[in-house]
Amino acid sequence: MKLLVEKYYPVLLASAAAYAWWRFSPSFPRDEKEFLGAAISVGSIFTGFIATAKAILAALPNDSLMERLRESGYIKDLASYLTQALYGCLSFSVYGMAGFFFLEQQSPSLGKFYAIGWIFLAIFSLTAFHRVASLLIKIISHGSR
Amino acid sequence: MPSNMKVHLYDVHTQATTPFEGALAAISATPLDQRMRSVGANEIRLENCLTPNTPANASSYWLLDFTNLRFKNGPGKANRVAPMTGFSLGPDDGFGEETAALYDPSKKVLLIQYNHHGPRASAICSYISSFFPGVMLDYELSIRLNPNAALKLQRQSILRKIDAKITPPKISSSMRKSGTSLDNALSISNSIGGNTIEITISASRSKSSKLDFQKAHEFISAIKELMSNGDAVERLEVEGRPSPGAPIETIDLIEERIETTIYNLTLGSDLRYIQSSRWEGLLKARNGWGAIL
Repeated sequence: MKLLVEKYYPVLLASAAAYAWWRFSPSFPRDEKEFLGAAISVGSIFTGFIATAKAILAALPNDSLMERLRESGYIKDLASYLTQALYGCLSFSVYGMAGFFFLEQQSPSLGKFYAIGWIFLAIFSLTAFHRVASLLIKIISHGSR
Repeated sequence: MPSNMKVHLYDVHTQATTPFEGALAAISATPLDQRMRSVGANEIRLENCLTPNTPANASSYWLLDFTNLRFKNGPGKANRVAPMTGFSLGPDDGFGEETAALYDPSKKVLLIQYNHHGPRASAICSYISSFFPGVMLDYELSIRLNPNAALKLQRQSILRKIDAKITPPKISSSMRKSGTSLDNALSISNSIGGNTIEITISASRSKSSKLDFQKAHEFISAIKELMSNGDAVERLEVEGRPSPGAPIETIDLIEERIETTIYNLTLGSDLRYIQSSRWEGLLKARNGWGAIL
């Protein structure tokens, strides 16, 4: 996989999902309140995980691997992936909470444009989370024989 | 006994204000008995130095001769029909090995005779750089490499051996620049714990045997591709013959140094190549390299 692909595939996938929602406009499940509540939980779990991962990464011994990540400049990419995952997941939760207010205004349904934004953030945070999680597992298992 | 010597070409770099020839002139102005300096485990001396455009040296190059002096154990005098005897040495005598050199001030290149036992380029360099106590003259010699190694490889119609040493790629900035994703970079460097991989592919011993030409070239270009990954390939040598029956040539695709062999040196009655003959050889080499300097 190329670095460029690795950098942008969450945004690309999220955009594709948003486009697909716009094109086919499927509807949210019927009880939108509970659905949003569930989504908020998922988003906050991810946020919590990423925040913990950041702490673990900061505490990793400054051994050869971390040294090399620093020297090669890959640490910048890793930091940017972590940032994207953290804020992606956080904004997914916040967006869900904002959804409750919109729901009051335009009851009974949230409408197409809210849904497009929701699917974009959902896919983005999911893929950004996946990217960081798989990298972290590789970093942790690095050097094992 | 082959009466030939190899000559290598070095570029002289310096940040010092004293030019290289200035240092040479100053060293040769020092009396011979004070010219000796210890470099590593050896004692080295500028034995002889001819300034350019003088009656003794009509050329425009500096002719130099460095010696490695040795006062430990040494060889003996041999004879096919008589037992081995020692040389009769005085109390202060020892053995010495000579390396001739030629300095071209206009091109800033130093041509050095290759003598396995004599002072080598690195020793000569540190000898000159640290000759004056307290004054560090910062000279650097870098061997000139042949950019035409690839051309030389093309000439080989028969390939006999490929020898490669590869350092498994470590995560590096060159990887990042070439666009390898962090995910892949981690996977590559995680594969095995080894530090180097050495591969030798050689044809069987018989004279006519050879490697499959097509496949060998594919292998070489695969390794060359690795080279773009920074310092991943430490050694890549190919042995081949330009034509059947021709002598085997070894091509170092990483560090093919510029080298020439000077034949028919004159051997003195004491079985040393005479100094003037070695200098003549260096002058020949300098003239032969006129086009690439």
